[in-house]
Amino acid sequence: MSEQISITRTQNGQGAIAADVATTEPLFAPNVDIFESEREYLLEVDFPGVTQDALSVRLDGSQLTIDGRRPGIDGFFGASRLSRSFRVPDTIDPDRIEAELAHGILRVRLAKREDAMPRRITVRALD
Amino acid sequence: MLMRRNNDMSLRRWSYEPLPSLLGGLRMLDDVNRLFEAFDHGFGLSSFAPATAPRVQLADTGSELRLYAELPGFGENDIELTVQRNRVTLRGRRQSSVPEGFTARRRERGDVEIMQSYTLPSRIHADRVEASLQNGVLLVTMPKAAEEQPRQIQVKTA
Repeated sequence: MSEQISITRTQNGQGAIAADVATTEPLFAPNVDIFESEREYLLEVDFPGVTQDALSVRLDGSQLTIDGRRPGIDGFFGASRLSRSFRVPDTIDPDRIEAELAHGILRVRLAKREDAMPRRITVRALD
Repeated sequence: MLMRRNNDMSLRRWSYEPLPSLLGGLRMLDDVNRLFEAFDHGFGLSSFAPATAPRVQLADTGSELRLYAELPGFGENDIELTVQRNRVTLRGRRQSSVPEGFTARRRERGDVEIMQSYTLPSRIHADRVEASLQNGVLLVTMPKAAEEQPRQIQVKTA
């Protein structure tokens, strides 16, 4: 059920989806958990009802935006959108962002740049 | 998924309690901007208030009632659904833990525990209720009891 999602890279806001101005669908800000390890950041976002083809993960400079659209069900439950933006730290490597969607949860991994990682220094005893 | 059927005849409530259709979850763009700041300041906490209840909606198609509940991260074994003549009860629990090797910088999702019971606007056929979970959305289809089905009335001229 887990699928790999391609990350879009843009500059100066180009590629921001036209739906931002066109839609009247309700917009929700999904809940997010942010975790950090030595090597990466991990975002876990509640994204219920969104399928991979209606999802975009976009990095524009230091702004990461996740967008999803829910088509509604059977015409009884209306369509809506989920969207949230983040300013990512400059320690991440823009070329090493991965996202996957499973069971209504979007996981985005942002690897830190090599030079931003802690380095272990070997201590040599001199005696 | 655990489905319990209960034919308790003592429960006969005909009042309709409107569902909290937009409980939690609804937020404006202001919050997006606020999160920006939080990110700028090293993932610090902001005044962002996470939703505590899942979004649940009910629809009446004429011949059946449908319940839609957003339950991201729930497995089918985390959900217990009980139906009676005109009552549906949803119980569930999701625990979210900090992944191994990580430190939490921001937590809005947290553990979710649901225990909600709804009085339905009509009686349902408990034996024919179906429930499915897909992409973190639970959809329950509840056919109305035979005597509640819409009926076409022939209008006669006197």
